[in-house]
Amino acid sequence: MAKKKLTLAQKYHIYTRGLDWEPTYVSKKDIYPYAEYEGIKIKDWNKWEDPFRMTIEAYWKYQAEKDRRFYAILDGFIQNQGHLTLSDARYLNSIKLFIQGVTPLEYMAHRGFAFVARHLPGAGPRTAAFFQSMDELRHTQIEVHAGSNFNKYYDGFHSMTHMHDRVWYLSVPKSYFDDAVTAGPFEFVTAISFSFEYALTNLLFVPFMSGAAYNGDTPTMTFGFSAQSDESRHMTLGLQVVKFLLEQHEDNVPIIQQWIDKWWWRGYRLTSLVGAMMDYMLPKRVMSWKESFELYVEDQIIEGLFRDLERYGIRPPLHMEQSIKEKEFLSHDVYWILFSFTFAAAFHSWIPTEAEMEWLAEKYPRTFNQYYRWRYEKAKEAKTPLPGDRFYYIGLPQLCQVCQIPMGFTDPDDPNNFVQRYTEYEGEIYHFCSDGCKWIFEREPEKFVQAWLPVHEIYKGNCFAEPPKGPDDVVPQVLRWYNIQTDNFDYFVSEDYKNWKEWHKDMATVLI
Amino acid sequence: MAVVETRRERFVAIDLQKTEEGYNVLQAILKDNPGTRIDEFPGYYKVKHPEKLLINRETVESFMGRPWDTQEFNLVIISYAGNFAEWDDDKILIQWDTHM
Repeated sequence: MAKKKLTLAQKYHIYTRGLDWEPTYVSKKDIYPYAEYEGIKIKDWNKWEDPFRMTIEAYWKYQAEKDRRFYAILDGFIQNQGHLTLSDARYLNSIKLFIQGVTPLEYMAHRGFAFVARHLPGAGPRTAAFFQSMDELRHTQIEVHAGSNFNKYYDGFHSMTHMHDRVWYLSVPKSYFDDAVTAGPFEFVTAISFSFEYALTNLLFVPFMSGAAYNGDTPTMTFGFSAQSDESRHMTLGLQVVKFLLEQHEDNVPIIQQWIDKWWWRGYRLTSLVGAMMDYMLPKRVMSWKESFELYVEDQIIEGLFRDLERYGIRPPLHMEQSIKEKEFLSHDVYWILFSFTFAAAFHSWIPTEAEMEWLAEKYPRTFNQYYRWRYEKAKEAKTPLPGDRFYYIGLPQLCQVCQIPMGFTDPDDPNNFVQRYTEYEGEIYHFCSDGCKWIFEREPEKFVQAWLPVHEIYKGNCFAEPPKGPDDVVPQVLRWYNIQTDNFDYFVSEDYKNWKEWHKDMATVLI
Repeated sequence: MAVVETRRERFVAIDLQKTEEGYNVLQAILKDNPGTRIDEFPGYYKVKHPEKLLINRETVESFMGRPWDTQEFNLVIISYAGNFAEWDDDKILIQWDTHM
């Protein structure tokens, strides 16, 4: 008679706890040196269980299947000249932002979770963190492979890691993850698995990827949904770790609450880039930033998740109300910033078409026509010496010391003003885009005074390929240092647009 | 002044891939969970229920016409809202308010 198969629960137990052991000649403190300094108290690591009950054999089996499906779709897309069937080449500017800004974060997440997988004393969460570390490396790979096909035909895909360490808008995602990986293991897991992956990645990997599908980009849709299916496991890890820590000791509650307060706002500011991508860069749109925020944050996170956490003494993040107030402003503010500084960016921007402005006005009836439409009307009339026959902001912006986004966020309570906050620390003044970022700075000033701010570094002379020959040579030398070549300026004067028109010249219907 | 409009609703949800397998899992969910609502988007279905969503292996198998391992759910899920209260060889249960 054949041996009875192990149940899922038995297998999970054997492959995690069963493979762990008690050290005999080295103290646990020496093995896990980072387990205590954050102040987290754990009584019993065995209380932790992974609801996914993922084991290593199941991991290989299903992840391999996910990858096979992705590469089959990518191959089909490439063989079929799929890039020519996209809705419009403008779409790819959102994917440039993705590959430059998000993909390097996947790699940093791989490193961060490898650290956690080494340093958490419990076998269960260590196993889950190990799987997550492998997931993140795999996400980096499939995203690079999806992007490398577009790199053959379009600008902006050629230099992602080089740019990630240098270019001004990419310091926003870079600084976010640098902040996370320099925290302790418990703060890192709370920041990434819980605050980012449970509360925010849905906005990036679900409605935006649905937008990729709608615009004909099947490889991006496939890596996005595939990645988010791993995120489901990561969300579970984040939620279980947080609940576990809250149940283990009451002293953990205020520590976790502060991390949730900090990392909600950090992650939310980072995700604002997705707002601009969804509302302005997708030629065919699925839902607005505001709609996806209402569905994935207000319903699922505030009404769902945080009501579930009430019993542990956890309340919604400190600055959540501000995020809700900003939902009708955020994407417009961020796209306007990206639009204004496109002369120094590795993507193109454009004035929304009349039909697109109608869509924006319909989705944002209280803000778009009132506060934003006029800017694009003016931008059409303004002339600068730069290519594109429209407005650019020729100058360098004040950056927020914490999120590093230029300080152009509208005050929802006074929409004709931008929010400007500052604080003094050891005789220096530091500027912030919001109360959230100011609060984060004041909690850990010794950390955030060290921020590498791209604008400051340009002024300090640290960002030139060669010393500028005069004032007109400053920006060109910065762009050379960034490795930005023909990747910048308005879409309608770009190589991308020229090529797109050429490739479609024989079509009966003219695409813009 | 900012007018803050919030439209809050409590539900558990699964975001499912719009594929052949995803469709079969969707049918199984609809059969076993009366009161389930579906929102359709390009590339995915969003399945919502005010209290809980149960996926039974046997029901999924009846739609698939083949054996189905509950861990194959990893291949069709995109995201979810709620907690995995149960995940064993025969069923997956998502709901809020579960303890570890």
